Amino acid sequence: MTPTRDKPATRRDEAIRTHELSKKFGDIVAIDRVTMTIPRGSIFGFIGPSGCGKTTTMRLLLGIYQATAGVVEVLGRSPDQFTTDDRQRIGYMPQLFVMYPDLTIWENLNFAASLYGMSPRRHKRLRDMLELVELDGHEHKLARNISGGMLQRLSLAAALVHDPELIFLDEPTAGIDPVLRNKFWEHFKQLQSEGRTMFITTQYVGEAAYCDYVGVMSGGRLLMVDKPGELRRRALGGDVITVKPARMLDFPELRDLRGQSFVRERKVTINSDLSLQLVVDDTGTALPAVFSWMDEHDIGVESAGEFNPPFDDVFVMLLEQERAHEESHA
Amino acid sequence: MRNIFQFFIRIFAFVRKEIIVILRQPRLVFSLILGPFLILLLFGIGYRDTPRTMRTLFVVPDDSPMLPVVEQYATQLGQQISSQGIISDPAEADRRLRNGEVDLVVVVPPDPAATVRNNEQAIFNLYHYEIDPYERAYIEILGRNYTEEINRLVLLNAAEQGKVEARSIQEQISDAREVASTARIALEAGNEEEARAASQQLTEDVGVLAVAAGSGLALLSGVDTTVGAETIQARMEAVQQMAATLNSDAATAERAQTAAAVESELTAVDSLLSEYEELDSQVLISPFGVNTLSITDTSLGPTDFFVPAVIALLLQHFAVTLAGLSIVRERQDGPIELFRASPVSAFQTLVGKFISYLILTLALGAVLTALVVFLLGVPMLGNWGHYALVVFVLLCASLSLGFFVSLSAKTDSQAIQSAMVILLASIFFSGFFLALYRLWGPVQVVSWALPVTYGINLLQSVMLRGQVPNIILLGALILYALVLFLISWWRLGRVMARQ
Repeated sequence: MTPTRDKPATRRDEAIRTHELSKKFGDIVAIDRVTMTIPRGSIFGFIGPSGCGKTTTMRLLLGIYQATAGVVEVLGRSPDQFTTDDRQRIGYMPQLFVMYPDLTIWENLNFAASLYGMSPRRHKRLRDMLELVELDGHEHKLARNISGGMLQRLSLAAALVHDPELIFLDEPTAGIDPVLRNKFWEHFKQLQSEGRTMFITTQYVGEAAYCDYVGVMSGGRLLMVDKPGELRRRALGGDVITVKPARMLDFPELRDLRGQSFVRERKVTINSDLSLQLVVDDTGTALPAVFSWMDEHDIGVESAGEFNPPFDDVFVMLLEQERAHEESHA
Repeated sequence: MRNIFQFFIRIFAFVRKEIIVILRQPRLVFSLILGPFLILLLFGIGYRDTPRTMRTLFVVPDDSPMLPVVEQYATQLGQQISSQGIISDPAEADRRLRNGEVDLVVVVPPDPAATVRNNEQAIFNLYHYEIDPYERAYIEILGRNYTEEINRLVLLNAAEQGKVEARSIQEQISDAREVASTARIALEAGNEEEARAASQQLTEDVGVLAVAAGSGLALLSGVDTTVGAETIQARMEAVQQMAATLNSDAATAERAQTAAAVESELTAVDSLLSEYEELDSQVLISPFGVNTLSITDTSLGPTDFFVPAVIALLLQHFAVTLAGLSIVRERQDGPIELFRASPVSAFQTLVGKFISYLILTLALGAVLTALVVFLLGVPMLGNWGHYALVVFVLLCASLSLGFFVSLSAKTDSQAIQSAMVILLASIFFSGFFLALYRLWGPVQVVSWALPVTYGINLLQSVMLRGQVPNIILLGALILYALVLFLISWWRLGRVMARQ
């Protein structure tokens, strides 16, 4: 599955490409024919319920797991053939803290820097990373004595310390307070602006909005990959406009509204507060038409605007649609 | 150039990390150094190289002629026998032995003289309640020593008795010599009648003497043949024959010459008897002794002997435990996932850990050695360079074994168990307290599969004999370290490879 738009022009523009990528553990299919292409310089968000195969996919891309079938290319090379230089271009933050509780924050970060062969003159870089994750001032604390959130930040700093080109982050914001989470995403955006590619799994579906592309995974299958706005449209069937009329529409008026060309598939619903929700092709063109129709019917408009449901709801809608689709096929 | 630099940076990452993690546990470091030293110190202070004293009860029937003998000698049988009394009831002795009131019951033969007269040995039965094979062997040796002591006392008595008899014979010899002198003078003076009377007297005296020597010195003959008891007897028989010729019809001059010869011979026998009497009875009954001498340059106590083995065993154990836990923990706690995704290789990981543990265990070995040599005074007869070389190779081999263990274990408790099994095997099979020749050949394969077996051999020869390390043993240990390291490298490569 490829992002619907902004398709990479050439292979050189691709950071990650998979085709029919599958992974089995014994008889259990963990990843089922995943096909996707992620352009360089993008932020790719990977969402899906727990155990759906996000981490396994990430490990396949990192070369930690070997694919059972299919093709995978990362930075233009199969993980089978990664060289030391290739691995130095990649950063990885695992889902759980896997560093050393008996080392201090500084020592852990220093160790991670050494693993990537960073020069001994890396002191400033380490300081900057600690500052980014707001661990400066805590350098000498043993990892065993810091909170879960701090461990998470230390892991993130360790993944970014060698300034990688392609960054895999497995739930980097789990356990992080909302303020710092926003700061992380600002930094991710900045890394993106510097040309870095990021592959991020997250349990906060709302964070999908920060991504350039979002992959939705369920049961080991990649259901769809698209831009966040497109995913919302898919979930809702188009753009959604909410209009609060000054009075309640009668039945003929409602029937007429449903029949208007700017309304998709006659989708007009009445909310509990008597506001109307209309599914349209494009908010920009539909909204003036709505105002015009209201005016023609002498109905005042108290408020109107585009309806943007939270991504959590979008995600649930998408999964429900997929389930319904599967059931209808079954 | 940059790649080579990065290669060493990655190795050094592990060296530094492992050293920090271990040094951050002061209790561990303290127990690693002080623990073994205290064990050695306690062993040195506590070990007593004195034979065990057996609380011994003698069982002698009331009417046995041995009763006074046992009463006399029960307290004179050396430090190992502590007499707890003499009783006549074997059942009571058995009860006291079973109750642990005594360690040994000696049942004395009731009438040894009668038994010996029947041409049989009189047997002392020693009963004990020991289950330890070494204690059993000790009692068997004690029993042998005990009967040897009894036999020695019997011989000592015989020797003393022989000396008394010899003194009596000497008095008779003196009388006979005077008679021979009288006979010779009478013959020389031509006094045939007096000469005949004296010769007659001499013949009788010499006859009595021969019998006395035959019976009295028979004891001496039984004690030892080297002092000439049989010579005396033979000479007395010769004197008897010469004395008989004095009564013959031979020429007077010839008979006078014979009387002089008898006189001379009796003087010689007298001299022999004096020589015999002057001999120490102890020497007489045990003319041969034994003196064992070591050609090593120093005298070694039991602690000295065990110290090189303990050092080898402890160093192997530390190295195996440290290395044994290292990789299994990386796998169990998750860092291996980071390594898989990073540019670090299995070789860099293993070498980094190897160097860090080698530094730590070498430092530990140095401190331990300094303590035992300079504080406990254990001798170091060899070259310090040779000693360091042996310790270095032993640690390399032990670390390789530890990594092998670590890569075979699934959890750290499995790794610890494996390290303990290796320790146990090392105690039994390495020659630590049981010489290797006591093990059946095929079982010695286990011995030579343990670095400590080589280590004990090499350290003992360097420390206690001052020798150059055996090149074959050292070479075998180097090969052992190399092979296990290569196997561990290959296995870690598989662990870090894609799954």
